[in-house]
Formats: sequence, C-alpha cells, structure tokens
Amino acid sequence: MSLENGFFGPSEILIDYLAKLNDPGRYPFTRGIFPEMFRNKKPTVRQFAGFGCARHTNERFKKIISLGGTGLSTAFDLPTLYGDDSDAPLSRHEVGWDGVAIDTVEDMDVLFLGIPLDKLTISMTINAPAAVIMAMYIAVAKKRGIPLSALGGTIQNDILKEHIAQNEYIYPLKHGVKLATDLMEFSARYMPKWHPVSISGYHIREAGSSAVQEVAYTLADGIVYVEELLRRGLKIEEFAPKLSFFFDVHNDFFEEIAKLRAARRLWAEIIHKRFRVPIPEKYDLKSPELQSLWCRMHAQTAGCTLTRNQPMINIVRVAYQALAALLGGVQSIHTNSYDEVLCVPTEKGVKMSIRTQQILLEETHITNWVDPLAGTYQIEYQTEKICEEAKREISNIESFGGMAQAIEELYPQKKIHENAIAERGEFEQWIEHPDKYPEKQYFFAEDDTTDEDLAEISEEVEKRRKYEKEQKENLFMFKKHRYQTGVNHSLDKVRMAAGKNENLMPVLQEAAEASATLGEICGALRDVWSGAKEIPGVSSSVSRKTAQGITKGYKFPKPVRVLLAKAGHDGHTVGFYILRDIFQTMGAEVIHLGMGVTPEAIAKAAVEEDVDFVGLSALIGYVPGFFEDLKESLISYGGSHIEIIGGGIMLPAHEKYIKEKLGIKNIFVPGSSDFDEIIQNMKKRVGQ
Amino acid sequence: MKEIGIFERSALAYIISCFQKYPNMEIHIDRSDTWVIGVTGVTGVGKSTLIEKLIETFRRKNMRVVALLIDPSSQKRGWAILGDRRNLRSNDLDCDKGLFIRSLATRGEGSALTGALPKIIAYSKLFSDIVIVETAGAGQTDVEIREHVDTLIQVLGPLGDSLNLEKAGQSEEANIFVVNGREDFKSNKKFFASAELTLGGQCLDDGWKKKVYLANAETGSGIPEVIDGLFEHREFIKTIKPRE
Repeated sequence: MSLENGFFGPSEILIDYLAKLNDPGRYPFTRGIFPEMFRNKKPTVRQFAGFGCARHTNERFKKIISLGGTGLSTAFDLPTLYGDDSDAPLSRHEVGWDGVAIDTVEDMDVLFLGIPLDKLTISMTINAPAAVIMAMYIAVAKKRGIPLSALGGTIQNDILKEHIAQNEYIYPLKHGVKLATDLMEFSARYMPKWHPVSISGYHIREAGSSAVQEVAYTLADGIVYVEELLRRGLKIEEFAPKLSFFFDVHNDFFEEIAKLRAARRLWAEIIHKRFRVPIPEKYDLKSPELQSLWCRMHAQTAGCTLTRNQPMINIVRVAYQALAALLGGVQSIHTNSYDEVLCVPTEKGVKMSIRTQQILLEETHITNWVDPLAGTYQIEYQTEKICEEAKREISNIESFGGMAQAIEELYPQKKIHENAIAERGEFEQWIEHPDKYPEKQYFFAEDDTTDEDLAEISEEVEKRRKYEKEQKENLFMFKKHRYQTGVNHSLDKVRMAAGKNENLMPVLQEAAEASATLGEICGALRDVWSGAKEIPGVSSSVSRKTAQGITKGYKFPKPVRVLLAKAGHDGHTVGFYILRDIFQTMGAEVIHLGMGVTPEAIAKAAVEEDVDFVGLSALIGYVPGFFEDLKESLISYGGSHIEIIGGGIMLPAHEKYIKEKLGIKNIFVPGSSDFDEIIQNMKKRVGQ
Repeated sequence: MKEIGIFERSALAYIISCFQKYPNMEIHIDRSDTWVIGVTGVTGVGKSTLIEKLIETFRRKNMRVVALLIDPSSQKRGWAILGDRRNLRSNDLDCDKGLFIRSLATRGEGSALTGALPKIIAYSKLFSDIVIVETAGAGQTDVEIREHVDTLIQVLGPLGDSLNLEKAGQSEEANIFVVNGREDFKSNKKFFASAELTLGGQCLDDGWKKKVYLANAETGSGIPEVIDGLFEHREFIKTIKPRE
C-alpha cells in the first residue's frame, strides 16, 4: 500500500480531522468555504464574452441577461489589455478581435448601455491598465447616479502573475504593483461590494507550471498584495474578504481536486497564522473576520490542454475538467469552448460549453453533496502533499524577500520554464517514438475539417475584420469633439500625481471624465514611470535535440542572417522562440528584435541588417494582415528580395491564404505543419 | 527632416555585408568629417539605454544617425544571437528614416570584423551626420576601436569602489565617462565622487581633459549635460590638427 501501488490504506493517512479538514465552512476550510456549499448556491456559470466595438458586446450582454444570466464577464481586446488605443500603430489587426475594444469613457458607457450596474455583478478581465479601466467604469456609474457602494463585481488586476507568466505588463514591476494596489485600496475604502483583484494561478499553470507551483506562486502573490495594503494603513478585515482567486483546472483529475482543496486550506492558514486573523468562535457568515479567511475561487478549464487537430474531442476534456472543478468546491466556473484553439469561440462553441456546465449542475446531482471525496485516502494524501510542497515553495519565495523580489531574480519564471520543458519532453517522446507509445497516438490524429466548418469560421473572421474600422472612426469622432485643453490639463495632473506617492484613482477618474483616452492616460503614466523592458533569459521549451529533429541536421553552408520579431501586442513567445532555436541549430546569425513590433519596423530593420530571412510570428488577430503589411513594407524599403518565414497559430484558411494569395510559402505552424518544406525552400536559396 | 533615403539605406546595408564577407574587398571611400562616437563599457552597464537617449537627442537636432552595434554574444558552431537592437526600440525610433541601425557579430576572436570595421565606419560616414559604435568593452575589437572614433564614451556602473576603475581597461583612452546611476545601484553619488576624483581633469595626449558625468540613462536625468560634453569635445577636436 503506497504511492507505487496506486492505492493507500488507513495506515498511511492519519487524518487529523479538526486540524486538517474540519466541516465545510469551518477553518481551515479544506472542505469548502460555506457550510452548505452548492446545496445552498450552485456555482455561477460565468462565461466570458467580448468582441468588436462596445455596441457589439453590449448586444451580447443583453442576450445573456435575457437568457437568465445574473453575472457578466468582460473580455477586452489586446490593445486595451496593453493600455493602447485602437488607433495606435501596434493595434492594427487586433482591434475588437478577441475581446471588446475600449478606448474612452464613452465606449465604456455604450458597453453597459441599458444594463443595471447596481443589480448585476460585472467581471472584467484586465490587469496592467485595470485602474484606468476601473476609473472609466466609475465615471460611467457616477454619470448614471449610481453610488460606488452599490457596484458589485470583480476586476482581475493581478499584475504579479503578468510578470511571472503572461507578459501583459506595461510598467516596471514596482510601479505596476503600486497602481494595482491603488485600485485595491480605493475599492476597500469606497466600494464594499467590489472584488478589486482576482489573484490568478490560471496563467501561471497555462505557462507550464506544476499544480504545486500554481498554488505556491498564486498565494505568494496574494501575500504581496496583503502586505502592501496593510502598509497603507488598512486593517486586514477591511480588504481581505474581497480578495478572490482564480485557478486553472488541468487534466490530472484527482490532483486538481486536491489542489483546490489544498489552496483553500493554505490561504486560510496564511491569513490566520501570518496575518493574525483569529479563528471565529461563532461562524457568522456576514463577519468580515470570517470572510477574511476564505479563499474564494473561480476556476477555468485548461486552455492549454485543448487540441487543434481534433477540436470536437475538446468537449470531453472540458467536461472532465469542469467535473474536477465542481468536486474541488469552487465558487464559479468558466468552461472553455471546444473551438477556441482556433482563435474564434463561435456561438456554437460557447453554447456547448454552457451546456456542459448545465448538465453537471442540473443532471448529475453532484451539487447535492458537500465535498463528497473528503476522507478518501487518496484525495487526502494528495491534498496534504500539495499543501506541504506548496508551503516549501512559498518559503523559497520568502527567502528572496517576497514574490516581487523573486520575480526580479527571475526565480518563478525559471522554475515554471523548467517544468514546462520537462512536460514538453515527455510529449516529444510520444511524437518521436510512436512505436513505444502506441496508446498516445490518438492524440495526433487529425479531423477532416470539412469545408463547411472552415467556411463558418472564415465568415466569422471576415465579420471581425470590420470592427477595427468602426472603432477607429468612433475614436476619431470622439477626439474631434472633445475639449482638448481640458484633456491636456487632466493628463498633466496624472503625470504630477504619478511622481508623488498618492493614490492615483481620483486623478485617473478625473482624466477619464475629461475625455482622455485609455492610451493617453497610460501614456502619461509611462512618461513618468518609463515603459516595461522585455526580460531576457527565458527561452523556448524545445530541446536542442528536438530542434535538430525538426531541421533534420541541415546546416547553412555559409553565414546566413535572420531577423526574428513578433508582431502585435500578444505576449505568447513560444512560437517565436521555437523559430529562434531552429535557426540557431542551423547555424544562423539571429537578430532578435523582440515582441510588439509593427510590420513596418520589422521591414526597416530587415533591410538595414541585410538579412536573408525575416521570421515573423503572429498569433492573435487577423494573422494574414500582419503578413500583408510586412510584405508591402519590405517592398517600400527596398527589401523585396528578403524571404519571409511565418510562424504562428493560424486557421488553415489563413495559412492557405498567406501561401496562395500573398505568395509566402514558408509558413510554420508548430505542432501541425511540416518543417521539411521550409528547409527545401531555404536550400534552394542558400544552397545545400 | 533629413533622411537616409531608400537607395542609400539598401546600399549601406549591402556594402557592410560585403566588407564582412570579403575581407580583401577595397573600394574607394571619400573622406568625410562625420563625427564618430564610440560607446564602451561592460555588459549590462546600460550602454544601449544611453545610446537610445543619445540617438533621440541627435535626431531632435535633425542629425542623421548610423548606429553600429557590435555584439560579442556566444559564438558556438557558427550561430549567434544578436539582441542589442531590441534595446534601441521605441515608438519614435522604430520607423525613423533618419536612423540606420546595424548589428554586427564579432564572428570569433581575430575576426573578420576587426579588419572590416574601419571600412564599415568610413562608409557609414558618407550617409550620416553621426556614427555611433557600441562595443562590449572586451576583446580585440575594443582595443582597436579607439583609433576609429573621434569621441569615446565609457559607461561605468557604480558597482564597486574606485579601485575597480583601474581594472576597467579603457579608462586610459576615453574622453567622456558616464557613471550610469541606475536606481538599483545604491552608491551612485559616492562612486561618482571617486570617479571624478580619479579620472576628472586627467589629460589625454592631445590635451583634452577627461570629463566625468553622473546620469541616469533610464530616466534621462543628466543626459543633457553628457550631450553638452560631447559637443564640447567635438569643438575641441576641430581645433587640433585633423585626424588621418
């Protein structure tokens, strides 16, 4: 009886029930934060939506409400997430693409037109510019005469995990944390119903961490925010009840359930032992002290487990993951759409994922029971194990002086990267040795995508392309009709305040009300704080051996120069680093231009560097648009002889379009396309 | 605004490649009095950040700039990753037609670059008002760079005490010293004081008195003074006999 045998008995697991588990709703809340859990309130079906201009998303919101939705969740487009306006050069091909484009307070007003902000809870998934977006939201509420105290909802506002995993940050770390904490402090003082942060492990896990790392880094982030807020003179009961958490639900079924239980227990222990909140004698659900101990959690199924080659089977994956989330006792769930790996969750896909949750909540009767797996030897063993290991990892972080310092030393980034490489290595084995792993080969099988499916998606894509034009026109008209002197004045005030040590929320709100745009306000802060620098040192998860496998040992016969860049805002670096490793293996001189480059800047650099190849990676947005622009820019800079190599995740229809209509033959889609063809093309150009 | 035109741009890009590929290639290059500034200092001290600020200033004065970035990054089995250019990126500079940036790999010690660099600099002068050369503060290229630049800046990081100054190699040769006082360096002022004491006012062979500045390349504070110092040196070299 042991881990090796795959089962445990009573002798291995000594459960100290009161200390480690206790009843649901009682410290340390391993079994759930509420006494009755889902018997009293089922988890919220919180699907996240947003696309196009404000008016398009507003229509979708109204539809959700008419179907009986009680909560809304807003997805913003990439330019908005990076605090840029829709008319910024870098925003091209991304406006309104995978979220709604919000540039101005007017957009924010339209987004929630006819929606009672004091009755529904609104969730907003945004981080780096969260304080500015919130200022706009508050301005809209004020205009409608709704008091701050009546606003309920959540804003993600977790800047630390952006530095650890998702790369959507726009200021140096300490300023980013300052801005995020300003919003939390403001909310704690004036918005009793608002959750001003959703401390997220999701993106950490998606970047390749283990379950233990996910728990440890998320809670360590939480500790930073708590300490910052205490430093500002708030009492812990004034803000801790409104801290919320967001976890990923991955494939390892029991581990995920144990992880959620462990996270709840650990957070309660941290708040109790470290921040000295007493364990209540009477469990009054309204008491802030009790609520401070709660780890409220939202869960989302793991996007990184979905496959492109067989989209339909993702439905089954999502269902199992949602089941694990439910058994783990979360407060709300987002189920992914089976087709979102193809970049465009269609209405069909969204409906399917909502139905998945509804079946779980309404048909399986699981919600009749509270923490049904408690007491099983195996779940309790795993919960204990994750708790202990996460504690150790948190104390590693503490030895740097906290998460902020650990991030500066790249510690969590490197640990996650190590884990990602190890997991990736296992996966590569399946590909390399199909004979050894026959049972894994189903994974790589491909669906015959019918033309009909593709047509449906392509139609959607065409629809999305039109949003950019509309939004830019909106913005142009908005800027034309505003009082420019007032805007300049308000931006100066933002700059002044940013240089001092005061809470920025009031000046941000003033700027939003004075019609300054998101890009202008974020830009004013950047003037004072300077922008974020890309952090070197973390590379792709492809091993040298794999890179050699891809290139089949081909080496350039003479010095070849290659320029690599990533277009657009998107911070996913995987495809980009794979290309870099491949070229490195072939012996090229690689000029690394980094992320967030416009096609024109790439073309200019490629010409000046006199490269043979220019590699462009693009993932989100209208991908062919980036290639179209690069091609045109190359011609205008006199570099039409430079060969383009594209890397990225794109729809088959886009790949076809780029190859046939733009004449760019070398397109590499990691995981699905064959690199041989590109090597053949390169050989033709530079010789054997 | 003055620009480096489309044909000039491609020509310069192409010829630089040729100089590197064919070490024996000689073409006639007209003499030009374009100002050449060298920037040296150890890795991570903030050369790129300083250069970015210099370029921004020169561009505002409507001077065309060619920046040559010599990257010593690892040279195994032929490959190299050149990342310096990434540090010079900004919304204003990205598509600036009055600016030309080229990354050069050293291609090993005793490299082709050592021979080609003087020709590359000479040719670059024809297309610009200022050529900025960034080197890594180590290796042969660096020792030789002094002969090919008019003004040499050494960037110092206040990491140690004044003793380290003497180990810094190039201290002998530079005209201008910039102590890059980034926020994370604690002893900025103290280090600056000792650098000033050790280096400031020392005379080079041509009679130039070395200048030491405290600046923060990240925030731009102290940069205008560095620029003034650069122009002062430029005026100075005009007064002494023209260089070969």
